[in-house]
Amino acid sequence: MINLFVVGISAVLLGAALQLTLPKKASLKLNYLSTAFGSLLVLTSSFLMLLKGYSNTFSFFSPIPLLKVSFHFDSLSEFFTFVISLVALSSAIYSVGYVEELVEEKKNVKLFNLLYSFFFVSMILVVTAWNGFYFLIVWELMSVLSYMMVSFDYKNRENEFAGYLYILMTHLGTAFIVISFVLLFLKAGTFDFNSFEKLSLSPQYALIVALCALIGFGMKAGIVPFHIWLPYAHPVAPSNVSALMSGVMIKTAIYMLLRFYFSFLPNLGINFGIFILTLGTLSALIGITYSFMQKDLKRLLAYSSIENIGIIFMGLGLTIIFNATGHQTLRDFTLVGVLFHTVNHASFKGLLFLASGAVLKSCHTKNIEKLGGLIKKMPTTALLFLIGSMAICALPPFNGFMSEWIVYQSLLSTFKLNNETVRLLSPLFAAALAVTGGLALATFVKAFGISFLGNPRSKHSENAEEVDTFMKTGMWILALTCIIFGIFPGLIFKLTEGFTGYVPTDNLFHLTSLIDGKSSVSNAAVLTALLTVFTISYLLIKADRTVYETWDCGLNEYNPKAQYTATGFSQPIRRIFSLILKPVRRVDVRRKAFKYYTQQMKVEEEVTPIFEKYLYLPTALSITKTADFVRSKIHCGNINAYLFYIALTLIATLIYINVR
Amino acid sequence: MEVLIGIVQLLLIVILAPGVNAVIHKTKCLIRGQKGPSILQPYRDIYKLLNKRSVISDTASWISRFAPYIIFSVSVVAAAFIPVFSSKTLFHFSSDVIGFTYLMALGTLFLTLYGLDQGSAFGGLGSSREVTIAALAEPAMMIAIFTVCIMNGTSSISEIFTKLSVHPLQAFSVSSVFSLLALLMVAIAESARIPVDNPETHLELTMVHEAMILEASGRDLALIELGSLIKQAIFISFIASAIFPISGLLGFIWYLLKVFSIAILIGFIEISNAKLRFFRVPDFLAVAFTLSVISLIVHYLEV
Repeated sequence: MINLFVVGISAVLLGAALQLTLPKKASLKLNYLSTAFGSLLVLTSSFLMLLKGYSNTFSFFSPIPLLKVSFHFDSLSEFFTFVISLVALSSAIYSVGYVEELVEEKKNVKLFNLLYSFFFVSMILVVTAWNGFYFLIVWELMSVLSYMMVSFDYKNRENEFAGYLYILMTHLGTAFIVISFVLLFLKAGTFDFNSFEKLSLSPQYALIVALCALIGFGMKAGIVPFHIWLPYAHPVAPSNVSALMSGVMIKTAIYMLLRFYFSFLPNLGINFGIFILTLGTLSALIGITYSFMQKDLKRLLAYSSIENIGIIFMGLGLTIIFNATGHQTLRDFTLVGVLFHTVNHASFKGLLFLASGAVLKSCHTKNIEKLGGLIKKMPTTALLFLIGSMAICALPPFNGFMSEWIVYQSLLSTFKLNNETVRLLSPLFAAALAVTGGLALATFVKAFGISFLGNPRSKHSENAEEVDTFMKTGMWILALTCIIFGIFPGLIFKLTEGFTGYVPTDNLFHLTSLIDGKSSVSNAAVLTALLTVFTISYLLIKADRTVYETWDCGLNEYNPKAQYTATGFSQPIRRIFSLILKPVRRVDVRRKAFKYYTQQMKVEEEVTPIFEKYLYLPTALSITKTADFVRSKIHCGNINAYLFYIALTLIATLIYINVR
Repeated sequence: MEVLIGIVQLLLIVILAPGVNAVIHKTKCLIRGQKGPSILQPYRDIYKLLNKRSVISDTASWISRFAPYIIFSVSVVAAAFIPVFSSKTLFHFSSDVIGFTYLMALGTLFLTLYGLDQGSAFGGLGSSREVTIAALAEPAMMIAIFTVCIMNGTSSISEIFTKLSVHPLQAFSVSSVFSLLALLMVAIAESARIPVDNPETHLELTMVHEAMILEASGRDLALIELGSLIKQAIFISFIASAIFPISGLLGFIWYLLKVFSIAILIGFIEISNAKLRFFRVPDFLAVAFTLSVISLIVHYLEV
C-alpha cells in the first residue's frame, strides 16, 4: 500500500519534470495525465490503508537540529490524503482540456503545470507531516505555490491584489501557527508530533495554544473574521486551481485543527467548544449572505466556501463540547459529521468550481448578469452544475444532506447535556443553520437559474459551446462522488472509523440518530420513492406539449433584458438585511430632451464588505500611519542623531553581554 | 398490513388536499356573504386540467419539462412521512423530521427553477420572492420542530406521533401551543396564503406563487397545483397530528375533524387580514420565530 503511495507521488513528480522537455501542447497532456494517474494511485492506496487500518511513521534525520523529516500515516492523515487525491484526480483530468486556454493566451504553461503538480504534492506532504518544524516548511511551500498560481496572471491588477492579500493573510496566520508550535515545543522539548501527543498541559496553557492554532489555521480555512482573502483569491485563480484551493487546501487547516484539538490538546473546556460553535455559526450565516449578493459566479462560490467551513466548525465545536462533557458516542458521531462534511464540501465545491470554469472557458465571463440560457448550449455542464448545487444545498438524495443532518442531530442531542447554556443555545444555532440552508438554496437557485436558464443575456453566452470530454470526465467523477456518498453514507463511516472510533450499527444506506436510536434517514429510500412516483406519474400523465413563445404582456419584441437579473434576484434579502449588508445603490439615468422620457438607465447595487471596511482597513491604515510617524521621527536626516543611535546600540549590547 | 396502512394514509392526504383548499375558500366565501363554489370544485379543476395539453415556452429547457413531475413527486413522497391515524406510515422506518423538511426544500428548488426557466420577467420575480420567504421561514420552523423533538426525545415523526398518542392529554403542554402556532404561521407562509401571498390574484405587485407558474398550463399546471395543494395539506396534517392524536379508526374521524377545523381557522385568518406588503412579511415571520423561541424557553421552564 505504501509502495503504491510512493509510486503515485513519484509519477506526479516525474510527469512534472518530464513535461519540461516537451512542446507546449504535449507537455500539458503528459503533466495532467501523469498527475491524474498518480493521484489515482494515491487515492487507491489511501483507501486501502483506511480499510486495513494501516498506521506507520517514516523518519529521516536531517543535519539541521530539531528538524526531522517524518511522514506519518494514521487514519486521519489517510482520510485527508483520500480527500485531496479525489479532488486532484478529477481536477487533473479536467485540466487537460482547461489549461489549453493558457496555451492560446501564450502564457508560460510549463511553469503553470509544474506549480500545479507540486501544489498537489505539497498538500499531501502537509497532511502526512509528523514534525512541527518540517510541517511549517511544507505548509509554507503549499501557501507559496498556491500564491504563485493565484497571481499567475500577474499583469492583471485584480490578480495582483488578490495574490498580495492572500500571501499577507497567510503569513499572518503562519505567525500564529509558529507561536502555537513554539508553545508546545517549550513544554515538549522537541517538535515531534509524537511528543506533542504525550503532553499534559494546564487548561490555561492549552487554551492559549488552542487560540493561536485557531487564528493561524482559521486564517487558512477562511473562518469569519479571517476570511477576507478568500473571496479575492479563489475567483481569480484558474478554475482547476480554485477547485483545489477551495475544495481541499482550506481543509488542510481543518486537518491540523483536528490534530490540535483531539490529539495534542484533548482536554479543552466546554466554553471553548461553545466559542468554536458560535464562530462557525457566524461564519456560515455571514458567508452565505454575502454569497447570495455576488454576481461573479466564482466569488459566489468562494463565499459559499466560507459558509461550509462554518458548518464544519459548528461540528468541530459540538465535538469539543461532547468531548468536554464526556459523551463519548456523541463525540464520535459528531466527529464523523465533521469529516463527512469535509469530504462532501471537497466534492461538491470542487465540482462547482470546475463547472464554473467550464462556463468561464466557453463564455469568457464569470459575471452572472451576462450569462443565461446556457442549459441549451452546454447541457452536460448545466446538469453537473445542478447536481453540485443540489448537493451543496443539502437536498436529499445528495451527500451534503447527510453531513448536515449529522450536525443537526448533534445540535438536537445537546438537550441531554447538563449545561443550560448549550441546551438553550443549540436550537438557536439550529435555526441559524436552517437560515443558512434556506439562503444556500436561494443562492444556488440564483447561480444556476440566472446563468443556465432563460435566454442569453449577452453575446458571451449566446456563443457558448459545450466543453470537451476531458473536462466533462473530470466533473463527472466529482458528481458521481456526490451521489455515491449521499446514497451510501455508511462508506464514510467505514473510512473514518479509525480516527473517530464510531462503529455504526447500520448498513451502508441507513443513518440512525443517537437520540433514541429510532429516527433515521436513508437517501436510498427517498430516492427510490421519488423515482417510483416520478415514473408512475410520468407514464400516467402524458407529457405532450405545444411549443409557443413566452408570454411577454403582448409586447412584440424579443428582449432578453426583460428577464430578472442576478442583482434583482437577491434584492429582497439585501433590503431585509440592509443593516448588516449596507447596500450601496448607484443609479445613472440618461434622459432625452423631454424630462419624462428616459433614454437609458443603469442601476448598480453593491453590498459593503463590512469586515474589510470597518475592521481591516482602519487597522491597516492606523498601522501605516503609526509606522510613518515613527519613521519620520527616527529618520530625521541629522547625522548627529544617527551617531547617537550607534552609540546607544553599542551601550545596549555591552550591557546585555555583561548581564549574561 | 403495515404497507397497506401506509398507502391508505398517503392516499388520504393526497385525496384530501384539494378538499382542504376548497374548505378554506368556502369559509371565506360564506363569511363574505357569497355562496361560493362547491367543495368539489378544485377536484373538477384538476380533472379538467389533467385532460388538457400543455403549452410550453420555446425558451424552456428540460427543467420545465420535468419540474412539474418532480414537484408532484416530492409532495407525494413527503406526504408519506405524515401519520394520519397510525404511526405506521410508508416511511416509518426512516421518518426523520429534518430529512422531511429538506425533502420539501427539493420541491421548492424545482418550483423556483421552473419560474426562471421560461425567461419571463414574472417567473424571476416569483422565484426571487419565494426563495426569500422560504429562507426566512426556516428558523421559526426549525426551532418549533426542535422543541417538539426535544419534548418527545426523538426526531422521528412516527415516534413523535406514537409518544403523543399514548398519553394525548399529558403530552400536550403549554410550550406545544406556542410551537404549533409558530408552525401554523410558517404553514401559511409556505403554502402561499394571505397575509403572505394572495392565491386569488394575478397582480405583479403582490404575487409570489402565481408568478412562478404563470407559464404553466394544462397537465403541467395540474401537477404543480396538486403538488402545492398536497404541500399545504401536509403542513396542516402535521399540525393536526400533533394535537391530541389518537390511533385507529376513531383517530381517522378525529383527524378529519381537526384538519377541517384548521382549514376553517385559516379561512378566518385570511378573511380578517389584509395581504402584507412584501417587505412586511419578515415581520410576520419574525413573530413566528419569537413564538417558537418562547415555546422553547417555556419547555425548559416546565421541565
